[in-house]
Amino acid sequence: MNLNAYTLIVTYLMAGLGLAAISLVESIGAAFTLAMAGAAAFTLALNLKGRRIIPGAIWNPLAAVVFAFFIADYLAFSGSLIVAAGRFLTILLVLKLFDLARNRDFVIAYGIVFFQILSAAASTVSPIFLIILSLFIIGAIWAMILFNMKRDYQEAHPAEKGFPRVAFGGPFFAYVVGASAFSIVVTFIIFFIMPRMEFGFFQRKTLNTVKVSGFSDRVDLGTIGPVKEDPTIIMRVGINPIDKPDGLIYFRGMALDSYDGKGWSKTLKDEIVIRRNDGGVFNLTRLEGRAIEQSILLEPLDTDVLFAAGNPVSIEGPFQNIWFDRSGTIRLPSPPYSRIQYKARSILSPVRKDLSMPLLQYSDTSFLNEGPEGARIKALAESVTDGALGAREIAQAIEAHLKSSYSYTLNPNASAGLSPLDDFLFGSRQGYCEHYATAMAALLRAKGIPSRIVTGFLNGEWNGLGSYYIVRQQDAHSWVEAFIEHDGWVRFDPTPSAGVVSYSPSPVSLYMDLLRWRWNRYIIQFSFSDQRQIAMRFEGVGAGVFENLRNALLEKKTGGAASKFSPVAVVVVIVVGLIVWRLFTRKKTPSRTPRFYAEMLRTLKRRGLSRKPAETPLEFAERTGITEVKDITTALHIERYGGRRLTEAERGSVDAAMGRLKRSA
Amino acid sequence: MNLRPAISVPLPWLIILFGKVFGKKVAEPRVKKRLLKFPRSLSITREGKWFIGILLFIGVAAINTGNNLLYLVVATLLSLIIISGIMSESTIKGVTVERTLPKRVFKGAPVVARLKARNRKRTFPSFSFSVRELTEASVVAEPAYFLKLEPLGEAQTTAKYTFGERGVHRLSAFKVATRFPFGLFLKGREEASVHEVLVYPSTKLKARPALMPAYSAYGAERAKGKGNGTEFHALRDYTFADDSRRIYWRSVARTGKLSVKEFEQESERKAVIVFENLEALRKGAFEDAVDEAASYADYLINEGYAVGLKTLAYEIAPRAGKDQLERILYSLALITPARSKGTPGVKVLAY
Repeated sequence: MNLNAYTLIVTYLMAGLGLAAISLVESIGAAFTLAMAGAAAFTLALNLKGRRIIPGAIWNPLAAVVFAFFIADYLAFSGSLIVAAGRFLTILLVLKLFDLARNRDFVIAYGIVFFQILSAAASTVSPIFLIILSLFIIGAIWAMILFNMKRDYQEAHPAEKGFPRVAFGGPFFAYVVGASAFSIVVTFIIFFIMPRMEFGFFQRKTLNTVKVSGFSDRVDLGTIGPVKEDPTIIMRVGINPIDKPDGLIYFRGMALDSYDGKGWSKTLKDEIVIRRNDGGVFNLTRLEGRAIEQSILLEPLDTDVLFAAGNPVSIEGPFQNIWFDRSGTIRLPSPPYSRIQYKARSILSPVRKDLSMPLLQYSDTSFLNEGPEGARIKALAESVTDGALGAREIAQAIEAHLKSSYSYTLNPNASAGLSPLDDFLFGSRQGYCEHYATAMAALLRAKGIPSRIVTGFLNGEWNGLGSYYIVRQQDAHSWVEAFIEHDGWVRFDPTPSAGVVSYSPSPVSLYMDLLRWRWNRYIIQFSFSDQRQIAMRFEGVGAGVFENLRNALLEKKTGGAASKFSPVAVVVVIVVGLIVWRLFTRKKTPSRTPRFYAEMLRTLKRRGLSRKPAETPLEFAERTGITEVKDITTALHIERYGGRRLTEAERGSVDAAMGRLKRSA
Repeated sequence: MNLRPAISVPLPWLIILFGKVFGKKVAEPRVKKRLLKFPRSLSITREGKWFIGILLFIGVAAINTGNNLLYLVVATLLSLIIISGIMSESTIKGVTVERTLPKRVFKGAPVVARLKARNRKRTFPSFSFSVRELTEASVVAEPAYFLKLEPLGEAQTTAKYTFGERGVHRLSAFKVATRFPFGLFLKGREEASVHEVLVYPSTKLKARPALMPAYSAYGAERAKGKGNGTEFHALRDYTFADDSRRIYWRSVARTGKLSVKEFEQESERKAVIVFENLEALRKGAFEDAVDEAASYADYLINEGYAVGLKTLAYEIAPRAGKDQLERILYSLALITPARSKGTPGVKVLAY
């Protein structure tokens, strides 16, 4: 295969990368990408046959026309610079593929691919980007080296048309791949140490938000049901494996206080603004207990609610300020419309130790006072809790009753003419978490116990490989909190265990998700605070090493146990020793004795013949009386004092003499 | 107790040690020069400027948006600069260059030099580099280009050299430079390679010398060619036409073939170039005069004259033949103006 064929292959591989990159840009349709890929394939066929249907002269006017289309696209259609630029670049690339003749054309094509990748970088968060970028690095390095060498060669030999074969082929390709691998490693090192700002000035917004239900000021009964079969990922929650609870983990979203017969709403306006403290942390509330840290990566959602497990006590994230209410709901001033990452610390206990008198809204039973339905519920509450003494026992009795007497289904058969709650309790007697929780809250309030509905997510899928929960739409859940005197707000979940989504993931899918999590966590969401953490960890390691060293040395002095000598300290000592040794043994000036003479001296030394310090090389050669030694000494004189290099023939005879000398030794 | 031997025996070593520890280090001038001078030259090519411009643009975009994938692209471009530095270093490192110039070099006449580059690295090849002579302004040397040198391999090429001034030229170093790998930067390194060249004055004849008759002690004219002179001319096979007394027996003993020695004809036509090597007032006049003298010498020798040179400082007796021309050119290559000022002039006296 000749160089032109190689170049053509690489060019089309690069064009494929460019198209793949463009397909990652949001809201560039697959149809457009496929059409362009088809056109590119057509140009490949033409190029293989060596035919050109677009003359080079037309290229520039065509490009200008396409540019005009780009302006029109940007202003009138897409409205997004990146989308319009992505389309423009793709059309330009395909046009260029029609017109591949000179080196310049190839270089322009690669340049267009680079900008396509750049537009993908500005728009996507997909891990596929890394693959595209890595392959592009290999191709670009190959092309840049080759074109540069070709140009150098042609500048040096203007008369020649061709280019010798030496510069490509297997070893050269290995060289390129090695350089690329090295480049990728260096890329990541630079990526992690490049200084970051605390905030981006213009956080990238996306329009592709996930629509979630249950996290607004008004939630109608029956809105969670439809999403319970949607596997869209909402968030990933990293937890230190030793902190992982044995049971289910509840991710709290919002608490709602008022029920009007059709749905729940939040009528309390008890939110307060929380500002960051000097450490960049939002302290929400003081609660007793061991707080567990979660690192939460939230997909772009259309809600302003932040989620956290159990009872959150503090939040750390890239926000200016947040809103917090006494029931434990955390909200941002506005929905972020982008992927965000934050840390939350929570107490996982089901009891929220807030002993202040609950507000009246939590005991509101106005919905029970209208119509016959209220009386039926009150009667049910009395019969279910018959014999129960305290508030806690009453709540437990209601919970147990709901769990055992109603059937869980995502598609309840609605009976005509009944309200959702009435239907659940007395009609179809089937429903899902919202119905169970609403029923329990209603029964509790009928018994005079303050209660509220909490919406959030239940458990999700545990990925032990990366130690995090994958939380999906279908994990959406609602439960009840009841105020128990002397304890505070206690969580009750009347939904039967059939409501918990169970997962049996394959290791492959877990690995794939782990890659996505790591990519998002360490590349897409890499931030100044991550850098600070890495720096602190290094500082810690460094301090640890010195501590170990100090201890080791002190113990050695006092005759302590040598077995405590830390392996890290040993490594440090070896490294320092090596550096010192290198520094002190380095030659100040290189020896001017030719290598072959030194080699001869070594060979003779093995035979017991060594030059005395006072002897000149000539005297030494005379003393040995060996012809080869005399010849090599003559060569030494030529090279060391004769002011010229040995000729080929002389060099050859020296080598021959050395060979004879060694063989006789 | 006598402590004297205990102290005096190690004393010399102690003094040496003391000197080593506290003594002022004598820096070798060579080392000092190297420390002061950055060992590599670097310039950014047009493509490199574009590259850096795009890099800065994307860098600003990355900072503006906080978009980590843009940071990743910036990091990629930076890594390309870094590996470009490493790869170019690996190309120009360990490359030695030797030159071979022809024996006779004349001022102003291009000569072809053979340049041999050798890669002394054991594992890495050297790609696409140029070798240029670092010379004073009067020497014009074409650069030579090498596409690839295998590890421990060598290659040679030719380059045209033109020396603009006569005399001894000291060629001391080459610049080994490369745009490898990406053409973004031009990196160069000096490679010492010392060579002294004696450049003869130009022998280009501008006008035939006007021979001025001189009443001489050197005698009358004779024919040119081989004859009965004393200068050796050539060795050739013996023919029957030759006088057997002229067989050159030493050669016969060596080769086993009968041969005779021919002698240079003792030229009958004699000319002396009189060069008044006064220090010229006009710049360049002296050099012009040297060239004139050299061109006359060349012309007259080729015409079969026995040529001599007479300057204010010395005199070369007239003789014929190429050796004599060499002698005269050598002396003219090195000639310096005499102390007194005037107009340097060249005359040819013929006998």
